[in-house]
Amino acid sequence: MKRRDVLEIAGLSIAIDSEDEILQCGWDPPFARFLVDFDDVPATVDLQLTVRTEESPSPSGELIFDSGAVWRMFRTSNGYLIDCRSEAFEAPCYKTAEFDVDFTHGTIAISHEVLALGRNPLDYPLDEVIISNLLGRNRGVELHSCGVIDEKGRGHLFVGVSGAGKTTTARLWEGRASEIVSDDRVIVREHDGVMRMFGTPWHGEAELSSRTSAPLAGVYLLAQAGSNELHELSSSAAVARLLACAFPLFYHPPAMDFTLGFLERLVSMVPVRELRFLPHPSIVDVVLQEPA
Amino acid sequence: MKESSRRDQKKPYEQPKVTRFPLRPEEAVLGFCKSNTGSGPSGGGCFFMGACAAAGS
Repeated sequence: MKRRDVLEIAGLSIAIDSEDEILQCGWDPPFARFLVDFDDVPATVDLQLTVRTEESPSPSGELIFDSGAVWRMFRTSNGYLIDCRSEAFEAPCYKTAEFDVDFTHGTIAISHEVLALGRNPLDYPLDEVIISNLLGRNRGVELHSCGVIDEKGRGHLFVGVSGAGKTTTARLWEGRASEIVSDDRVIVREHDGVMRMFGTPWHGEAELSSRTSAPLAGVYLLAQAGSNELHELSSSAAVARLLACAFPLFYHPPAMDFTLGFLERLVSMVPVRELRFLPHPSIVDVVLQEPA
Repeated sequence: MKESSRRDQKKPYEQPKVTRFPLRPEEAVLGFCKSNTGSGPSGGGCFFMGACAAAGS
């Protein structure tokens, strides 16, 4: 082994070993914040990846999911295979990743053509497909959301699809928040009976990302409106709307069961409401005035 | 308990309702990318030219 990098995202550790010296992990700054120092590397990791610089093998096995664009997943005799596709390269598939059934071990095959671009082997979409698969196996949920920690250390999660106002929300909190853990992707996990939100390397236009976590005080489904108002939701409506902003494993029924159950539990433990808001700093006060 | 009082305690029947919530499939399946700066789905050096199903953030 020539090189080892360990990432820790939302408490999930991913070791990336490369056998080829040519491989240079070009971690962008948001990702570099999630690299674990050598002395802090845990004895066991959640996922052990090996990276090989070779042409990606032709996908084989049963096609179980097609994203319709940049990646597909196959079921193989040993587990799963993901192929990443782009019209930018001559080969239809520029990167493949094979995993065992439990997603504890995997191998990434990446071509020299891609490496020459100085990219890291986990580049999108593989990074988030991997995290989704780890979370879906009884660990938590990633939500399309902006996570804000207030001065009292309380976590507030603002959830919405593209264009809902996540980056706008992040900017409105600048100067009022202790930290913004991401303006696009936040992971929620339960730890010791408490729902916590975790920052991720994946950010939006404000380019905010942090490794910090905080206990969740409130979840707000964003809805742009002419005035500020908190709107109560039924539990079923809250779960459905959160699911529409998650990244569930549609192709893995046990994970779908877990995700639905997890969201139901989240709704029972943390207030989840619709936040109708004006893009104005006054919305920060509406949230801060909520009881702890 | 008498049958009549048990009947009185029953919740009134509510017809099941179907509520539709919008889902953006290209976002939910991580099937998009957006050229921007930085890392991740808004990542820099986007090399999915022509393969993007939709922009996302």
